[in-house]
Amino acid sequence: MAQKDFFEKREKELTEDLQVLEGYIKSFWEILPIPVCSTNPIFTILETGRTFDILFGYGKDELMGSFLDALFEREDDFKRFSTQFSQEKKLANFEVVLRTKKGKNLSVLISAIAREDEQGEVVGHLFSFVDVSLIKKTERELREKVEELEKVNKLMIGRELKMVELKEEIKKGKEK
Amino acid sequence: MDINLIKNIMIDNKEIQKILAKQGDVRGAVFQTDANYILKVGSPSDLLKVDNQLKQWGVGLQLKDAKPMGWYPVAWRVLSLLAIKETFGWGEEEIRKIGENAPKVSVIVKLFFKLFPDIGKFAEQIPKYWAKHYTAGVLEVAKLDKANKELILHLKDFAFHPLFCKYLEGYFQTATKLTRVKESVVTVKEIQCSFRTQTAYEAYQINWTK
Repeated sequence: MAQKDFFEKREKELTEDLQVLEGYIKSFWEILPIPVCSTNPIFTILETGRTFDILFGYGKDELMGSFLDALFEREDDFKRFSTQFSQEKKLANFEVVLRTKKGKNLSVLISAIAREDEQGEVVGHLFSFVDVSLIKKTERELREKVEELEKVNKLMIGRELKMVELKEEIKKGKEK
Repeated sequence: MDINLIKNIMIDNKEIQKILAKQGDVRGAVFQTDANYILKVGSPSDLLKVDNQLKQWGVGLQLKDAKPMGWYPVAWRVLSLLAIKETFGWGEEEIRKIGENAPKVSVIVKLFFKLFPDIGKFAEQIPKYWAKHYTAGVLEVAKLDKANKELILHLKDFAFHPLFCKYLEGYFQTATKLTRVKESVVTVKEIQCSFRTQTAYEAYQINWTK
């Protein structure tokens, strides 16, 4: 009887500990400022964080059971990503264009890690996404501005040289 | 109970007491998945109606507040489905959809299920998955035919109510689909029901295309 009581007490404690852990993990999914999601080994989405839902414009649990490739703008990009990730089981800052539910393109950096069980079998994956769309846009605008300035600069240098040439001609003309 | 009358009969108090007398526990996660479905297709006031129906039947549980890792009587789980069915006047197919939705939103699936794409490895885990959820009944893999893409499951010592069998059809379908590729079509049907044939177990046939 004492042993039975011991095991019942132990089970109750373990259940309570599990509840605490579950609550802890749930809070993480809610609070993480970086968009994250988890999938099974074949990239079926099992869970998405709140920030992920906001970034991609989906409702809570809306993407459960969908495949990760649905987020990729180009199929080839997904093939490239999944091939590289499957080989290495870990990937950092893979740059790619994804799309939101409304079809808007986002430049993102994906980092990913494979989850393994005690036997070393892959049981799922975790992904994080950093939206670099604004950075890419700013880079693009900066590049365009620099090109524009270079053109103007070339033009001005050209005109300067032309001016110098003209002055030389005028000087020679006067000397004659 | 005549299985053909499931659709039309309102459950009576005698049946409720019979269900409540059955032994076994289930994880609270199942009530949360029920609540999730109700809120998906309905509203918070719909959920309240179900909670109130359960309260009338002596079940002091609000579905959304169930602790996912906590243990609750399996009888409450069955009554939850019956309460939903009676509150909304739904048929078996809607209950099956609740089962289909459950694995996608269940914290037990997210935390504990190893959704191996290898059907053999997935099948090996099935009895453990059942035990993660329930202390009653045993879910066994009776047959796995990879060539013909067929899996037969036997659920023993778990005859609570035939409505639950429909729920499980939907549940097994989605749980299996989560291990298959995008193009795969998964079908599940109950091929033996202890309520119909007075046999010792329920049997489910699962088929997939890829």
